[in-house]
Amino acid sequence: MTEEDSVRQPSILVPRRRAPPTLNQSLDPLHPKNQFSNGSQAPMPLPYGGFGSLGREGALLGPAISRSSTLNSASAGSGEFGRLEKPLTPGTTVVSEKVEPEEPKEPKRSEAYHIASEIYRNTFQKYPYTGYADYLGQKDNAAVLREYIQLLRPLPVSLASVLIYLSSQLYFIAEAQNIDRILEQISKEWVAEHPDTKWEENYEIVHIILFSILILNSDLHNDNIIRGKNDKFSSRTFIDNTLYAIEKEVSRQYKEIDIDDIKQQAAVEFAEYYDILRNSPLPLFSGKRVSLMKQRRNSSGLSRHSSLRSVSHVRRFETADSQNSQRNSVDQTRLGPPAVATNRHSRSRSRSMNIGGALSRSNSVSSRKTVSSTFSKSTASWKYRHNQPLPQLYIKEDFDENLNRQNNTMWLMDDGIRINEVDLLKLTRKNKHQHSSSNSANNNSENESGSANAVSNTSLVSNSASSLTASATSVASAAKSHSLGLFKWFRRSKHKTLYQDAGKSMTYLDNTCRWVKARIRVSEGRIFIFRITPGAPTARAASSYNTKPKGALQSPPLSPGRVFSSPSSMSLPAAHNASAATNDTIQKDCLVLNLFECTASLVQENIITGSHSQKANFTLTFPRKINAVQTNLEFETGSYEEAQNYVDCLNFWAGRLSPVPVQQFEIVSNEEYGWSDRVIGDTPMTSMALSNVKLCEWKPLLTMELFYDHMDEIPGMIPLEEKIEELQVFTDKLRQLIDAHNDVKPLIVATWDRSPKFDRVMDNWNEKYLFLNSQYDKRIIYFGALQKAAGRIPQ
Amino acid sequence: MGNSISKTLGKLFGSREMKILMLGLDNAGKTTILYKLKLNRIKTSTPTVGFNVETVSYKNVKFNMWDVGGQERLRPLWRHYFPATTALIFVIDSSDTERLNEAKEELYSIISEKEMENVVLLVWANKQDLKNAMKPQEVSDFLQLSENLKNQLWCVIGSNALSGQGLLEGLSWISNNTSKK
Repeated sequence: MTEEDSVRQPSILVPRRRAPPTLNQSLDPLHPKNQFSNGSQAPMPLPYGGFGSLGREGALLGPAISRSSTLNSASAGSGEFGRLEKPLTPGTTVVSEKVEPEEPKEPKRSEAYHIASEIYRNTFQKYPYTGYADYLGQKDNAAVLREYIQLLRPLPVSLASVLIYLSSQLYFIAEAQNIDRILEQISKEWVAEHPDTKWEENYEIVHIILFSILILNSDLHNDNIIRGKNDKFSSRTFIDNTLYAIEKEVSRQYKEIDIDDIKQQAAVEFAEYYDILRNSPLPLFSGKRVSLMKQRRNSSGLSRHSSLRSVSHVRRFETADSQNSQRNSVDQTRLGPPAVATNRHSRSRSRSMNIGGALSRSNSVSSRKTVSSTFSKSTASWKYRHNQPLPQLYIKEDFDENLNRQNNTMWLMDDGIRINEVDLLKLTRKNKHQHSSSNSANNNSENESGSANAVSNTSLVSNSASSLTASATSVASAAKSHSLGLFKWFRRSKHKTLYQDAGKSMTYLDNTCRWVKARIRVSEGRIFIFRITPGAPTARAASSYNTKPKGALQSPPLSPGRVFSSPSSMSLPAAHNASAATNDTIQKDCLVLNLFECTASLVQENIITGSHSQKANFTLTFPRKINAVQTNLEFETGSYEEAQNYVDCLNFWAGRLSPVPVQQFEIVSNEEYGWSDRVIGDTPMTSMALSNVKLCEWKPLLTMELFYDHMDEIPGMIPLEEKIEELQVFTDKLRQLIDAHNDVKPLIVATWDRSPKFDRVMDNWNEKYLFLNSQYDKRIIYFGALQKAAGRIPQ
Repeated sequence: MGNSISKTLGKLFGSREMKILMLGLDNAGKTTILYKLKLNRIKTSTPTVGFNVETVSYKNVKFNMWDVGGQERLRPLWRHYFPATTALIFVIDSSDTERLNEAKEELYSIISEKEMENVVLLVWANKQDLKNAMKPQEVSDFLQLSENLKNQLWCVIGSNALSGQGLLEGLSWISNNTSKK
C-alpha cells in the first residue's frame, strides 16, 4: 500500500468527469448496448472503509451491471476486437474531450497535462514513441500518467479490451515496474468508470487481472520465452494463476469480498480473455507512418525494444492503424518536419544500436575460420600484423612519457636475445587444426604459396609446426614453398627431448635445446617477439646478443599504438623476399602478446649450476587457459644482468596491467568443501551426518582476464600508485587467508579421518591451498616489481 | 572477446542442456551483463506487447532474461512463468540499498516456488565498481541466504558488468555445480 499514500488524492481516484458517460451512451465497442440492459441487481455496498471517505461517488451513483450480462457481452464481442480501433478513434470521443475547456489551475498539472496530451497525440519529442510507456511508468511522472489515462477515457468494460485499446494507442513494451504503474493507474480509472462490476471498487484486483492478461500475452506470443516441459499456458492455468493471485491479494488485504462467491463468474470471464488473447496478440502500436522506414532501419540493429520487424508485419499495422497514422500526419503538419523526431529517435537509441552492432559482429566473427588463439582476430598479434591500433592497456601517467623511451629500464627492454623455439611453436600452433599427414601439409603449403599474405601467414605457422613431426620430405617441400615463412626458422625438425616431453621449463639444462635469435621488446604492457633471420645482412641484432647491452637502443618515435612505425635501427629484413622488406613484413613477422597475469622469473635464481657461463635464462609464464594449457616462453640472454632486467620489466608491466581478482575471494556461498563451520564447528558431526554431507569440488573460477587479449578496451584500469596500494591490501588478505586455511587443516583431518570422503576433502583443501599460494606468489612478485619501479620514477 | 567467451562457455558447459533464468529488478544491470557476455541473441520475429524478455544462447545453454519488478500483489502471477530451470541468476544492484529489500522479497518469492526447488542460485552483487556498493558478504548477510535456503546451492559473487569482473567466475561456478546432472 505504499504508493497509495502519494496517489490517493480525490482528483486522482475520482477522475474529473469531463463528460460523464451518460447511461445510454455506448462507449464500449464490445458491449454495444447491453451495458445496462440488465441492471436489476442491487449495487453491492462499499466493501471497505478506507475508500469511502475519499468519495467514490461513482460507486454510489452508478447502476449495477449484471455480471452475467457483462460476460455475455464480452463473449459476443470477442470475435470483433480486431476492429476495435475504429469505434475508439479520437475523432469520436477523445477529440471532444480535448476541445472541452480544461484549464488546470496548478501550473504543474498543466505541464503534466501538456505532456500527456503530447504523448497521446504521439508528438512528445523528448523520447521516441517506443519510450513513451517507460516514461509514463516512471515514478516521477505519476502526474503525467494520470493525465494520460484520463485522455484514454472512456475505458471498455472488458479488461482484455482495455489492454487492446491501450496497446493500440501506445507502444506498450516497457520495464515490468513501469508496466505495473501504468496498469495500476488504469485500473483505478477503470473501477471509477465501472464501479459496479463484480470487482466493485477493488482496483487492486483489476490491476492483477490486467497484469495477468499481459503476462498471458507474453506467454502466448513472445517467442523469446524458453518454456520448460509445460507448454504455453492453457486456459485452465491462466484462470488458476490469476485467481490464485487474487486470492492472495484478498487474504492479504482482508477485503470483505467473498472470492468464492464470484469465482465461477470470474473463471468464465478469464476464459474469455484467454480466448481473445489466444486468437490474436495485443496489437503493438507502430508509431508514425512517416518514420516507419527509419524505424525499420533503426530497429535492424536489434535494439532493445524492437527487433527487426518483418515488412508484412509493418504493413499489417499500417492498415490496422490507419486511424493513428492519419492522426499522426495531422500532427506532423502542425509540428514541422518529422525528421526532427526521427533524429532524436535514432540518437537516443544509439547505445542500444551499438550493442546490437556488437552482437551481430560477434556473430560474424564466430565463423570457424580463425582457429589459432594467438592469431585469431582481434588479438594483439592480429591487430599488430594487420596494422590495427593496439589498445592502450594501462593509464598512461606523466612519468611514462619519458620512461617508455628508455631502454634497459623497467619500462622498456628491447634487445636481441634468444628464445626457445619449441615454446614458441607450442604457442603458435595451439588450438590449431593439426595436419596429421605429410600429404595434407604438402597440399596446404602449395595452396598457400599462391594465396594472400594474411592468410598464408597464419597457416604457415601451423605448417611449420606440423613440419616438426612430419616426415623429412614434407619438411623440405614446406620449406621450399615458404621462402617467406613467418616461422620458417623453426622448420628444422629435431628430436624431442625428455625435457620437452615433460613440458617443464628445464630447457636450460637441455643441451639439445635449440635457442633461436629473436628481438624481444617489452613495452607498454606487451611483449613483441620479432624473428631475426640467421645470417641476414644486418647482424647487429645478433652481435648485440653477445656484447653487453649497449645502453639505450634507439627507440623509434612512439606513435600511439604502433611501436615500429618506421624501420628501426635494428632492422629485421626478410632476406629471402626482397619485396617483403617493408613495415608490413616486420609487423607480420611479429608475435605480440599482452602481459596480463603473466609472471617472469629468472631461472638462475632457483637453480645454481656449476657452469661458469655468462649466459642467463628467464622464463615468462602465461596464465592457464580454460583447457588447462599453460604457456611458457624461455629466453636466454648474454648476461645475468640483462635477464634480470627483462624479468623486472615483464613483471612490472604484468603487475601494472593485471587487475586484482578480488571477486574470486569475496564469494559467499553455501557450497560444502568439507570445512564449513557446520562440519568442523564446535559440535562435531556424527559419522552418519558426515556421510550425508554433499561435498562440492573446489575449483578456482575463471576470470574475465582470460579474454583481455581480445578486448579493445580494458576495464578497471587504475593509476600505478593505487595499484600498488591495492596489491598491498590484497597480498595481506591473501596471507591471512592462507593462514586461516592452514589452521583449518588439523580440524579437517580430525573430522574426516575415518570417513570415506577423506580424500575428496583433502583434495579440496589442497586445491584451494595451491590456488591461494599461486595467487600470493604472483601478486607479491607484482607488488615488488611495482614498488621497485615506483622508486625509479624521477620526482 | 565475445567469440572467446562463447567458446569458453562451450567448453564450460559442453553439450549439457541448461536453461538459465536471469532475473532481477529493473536497472540491476542485466542488459549490460548480457552485452558483456556477447552471447548470441536469439532472433525473434516480432516484438511482443508487454515485458522485455531477452533470450540468449550458446549451443544448448539458453539464457532467458526477465525483469520482474512490480508490486507485491503481482508477484504470485509470475510463478508459472519460471519453467524448469537449471540455474537461476539473480542480479542485484549492490549500490541501491533502498531497493535491496525489494530485491530480496522478489528473490524469495521466486526461489520459494516449488519449481525452483532444485536450481542452483547465483546472485551477482552487481555494480561493485560504485563506491557505495555493498560487498558480496554484506549482500549475502542481508539476503539471509544461509538461514533461509536449505535445498538450493547458492553463491553470491561480486560483479562489475562494465568490466566483466565476476561474470565468468559466476558462470564457471554454475558450471562447476551443475555438471553431475
